[in-house]
Amino acid sequence: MNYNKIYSKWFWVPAFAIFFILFLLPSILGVFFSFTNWNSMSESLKWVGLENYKKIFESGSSIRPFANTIFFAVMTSVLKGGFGLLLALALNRRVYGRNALRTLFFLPMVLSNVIVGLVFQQIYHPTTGVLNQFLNLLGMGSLAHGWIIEPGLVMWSCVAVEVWKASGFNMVIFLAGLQSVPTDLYEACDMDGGSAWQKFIKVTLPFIMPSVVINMLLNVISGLKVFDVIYTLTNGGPGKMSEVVEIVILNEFAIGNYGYGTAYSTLMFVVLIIISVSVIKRYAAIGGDSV
Amino acid sequence: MKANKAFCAVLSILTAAGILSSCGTSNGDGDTSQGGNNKKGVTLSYAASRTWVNRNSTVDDELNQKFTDETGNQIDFQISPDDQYANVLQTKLSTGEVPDIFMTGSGVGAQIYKPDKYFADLSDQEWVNRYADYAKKITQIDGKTVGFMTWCVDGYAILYNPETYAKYNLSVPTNYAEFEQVCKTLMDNGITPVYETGKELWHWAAFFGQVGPLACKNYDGDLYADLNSNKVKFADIPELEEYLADMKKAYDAGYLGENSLSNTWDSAYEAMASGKYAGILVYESWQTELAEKYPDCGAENWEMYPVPFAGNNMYSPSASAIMRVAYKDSERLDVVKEFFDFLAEPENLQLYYDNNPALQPNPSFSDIAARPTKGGETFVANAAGGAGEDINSSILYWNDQLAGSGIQEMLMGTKTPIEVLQALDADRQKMFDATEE
Repeated sequence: MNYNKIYSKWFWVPAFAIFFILFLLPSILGVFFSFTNWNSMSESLKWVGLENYKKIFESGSSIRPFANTIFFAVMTSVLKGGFGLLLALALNRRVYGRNALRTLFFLPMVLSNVIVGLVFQQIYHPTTGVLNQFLNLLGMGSLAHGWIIEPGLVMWSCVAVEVWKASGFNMVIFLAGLQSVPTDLYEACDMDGGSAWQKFIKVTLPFIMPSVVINMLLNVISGLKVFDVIYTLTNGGPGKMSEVVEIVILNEFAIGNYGYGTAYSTLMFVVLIIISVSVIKRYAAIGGDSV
Repeated sequence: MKANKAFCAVLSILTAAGILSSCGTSNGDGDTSQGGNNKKGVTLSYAASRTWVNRNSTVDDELNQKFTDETGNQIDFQISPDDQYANVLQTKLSTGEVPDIFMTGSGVGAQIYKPDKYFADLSDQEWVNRYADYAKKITQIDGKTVGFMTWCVDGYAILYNPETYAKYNLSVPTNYAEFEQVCKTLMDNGITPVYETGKELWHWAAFFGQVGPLACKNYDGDLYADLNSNKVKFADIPELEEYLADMKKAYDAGYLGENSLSNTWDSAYEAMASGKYAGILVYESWQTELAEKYPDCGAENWEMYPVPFAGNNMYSPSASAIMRVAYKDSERLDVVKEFFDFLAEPENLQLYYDNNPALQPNPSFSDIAARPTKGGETFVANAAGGAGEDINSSILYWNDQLAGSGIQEMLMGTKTPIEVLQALDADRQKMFDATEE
């Protein structure tokens, strides 16, 4: 009996229904509301066309949240990928306590972002925080800073928390990719006198390219959607120095300006769709879909 | 084969239907009986912000239990974190999941919850006659009493230890120049003049809001009414700009502490009890909380003075306090009124206030004896300019978070005082535009 035949015809219905009701429908409705004056004070909706979008693009204060979001997404994607790859390469060898170390590096990923934000808020505190106290203990007091109150440092501090938290997740995906690299290719490379760097570039990297692409896709999307870590760590502050798009949306909803907030969220939705489709196309082009 | 296909199809549809039906709306009921008046065994849903109930006690739970014991009706608290309560409540209202009882700020701040649509008229309730004058005033909208309030209004001012001031021959400053002299002397003696909980955006907003009465006094007309009708902008009011400029000067000079942007509200108790700081901007009853946590610091004898920026010398109580609202179209409105009657019984009111020291300085019921704090008394005594309501609770579309972040930007030098005010105007303008008919 061909069970696949039955699955292919009917079993997509519940999943699609859930996806449609809980994701597609609200998204479509969101697009509609972004063209209205929907707010907490008026009983009726008024069609305002592109007015909300116009205000977003005209307002000088919109630049920083978008810039911060892109900065966060790019920096965390690169750094999480980089550290994740280094960890994966190190722990793909036969080292003592390998499994324990893999678990240890993955562990931050299971923590709630809210808890991580609150803990790092204490770690970064300029006077009572562990980080500055540690630097002072080492006689490196000149490096002590107000990590989340100095305008020039605050976004880097947020990036560092995300990198600490999610590098382990990247490591796991890279480790899975590394299992697909045939060991005889390394042996052949050794016989040809290839250096470690050449082995990495010519052998390892092509085989783990699908892992690189999927990591980057997930990193960029999670980076662009960042909210909870920054909300609990800095609440977008000091001032609006670490404000990202999701925090702006929350603030607009908090003052009851739903239509404007929804326009922001629709813009982010479009950006995410463009990035996702581009990366998935790239993924398919390099043959990742066959893995 | 066909039977299998049909079975799978039916199973899929039933699964989808089951999941979707669980997403449907419930009547939010929980009743064990339905319909009619004087129901027994009814459960009232009651939405509140975390720190608005059971403040350092379990008195709200105790009163609810007592109500259940007497009537058989139960109270189902739906508690949300403070910073999310407004969002949660607005979501509940807009999705039709309106609680039977919900807490809101009174006055202008209540307007965002559409009083006409959701607030029951409680004007004919017996306890309204026992309200203190201010409570009667701020629970009214369009002449109707719409809230049951067991709260207290008081103002924010700088609480200081008079012994520290006396030790260095300092007197209460009445303008920025005098404040600067006080601060310099304290700093020369290793004491930080003010502990500012600057991580909290709402606290910067509270700091700023104290200039409201002075601005109103100097304004030709009703400033708050003109701001609320969008006839005038914050940027048009010179006192507001001057006050912000003084805040910036004090911050830059270190009078508010070296790392004040990292200080949380919760950390203030320990900091003030340590003696390293000479003052803090707090509400009148805060010293009672501090004295309870740190009895040795003698906080109950500390005094207060108005923030002397821009020459401010006025007592600035809030124009708003927390009240309970009954949902106008609740099927259990009669039970809600019964619950409010129960809470308003003198014995229950007394129990409530006895367990809420922070609310005792100025109770909302005239038959409850006020227990003013030393800070509150000296705040009024030091306010030679008279009294008026603060900005925060008087202005339509005011948002503490947005105001606080604007002030933080000014302190870091990325905005000037006038730019902060213009940004506040721009944020409010968005709502004026959105609500324009």
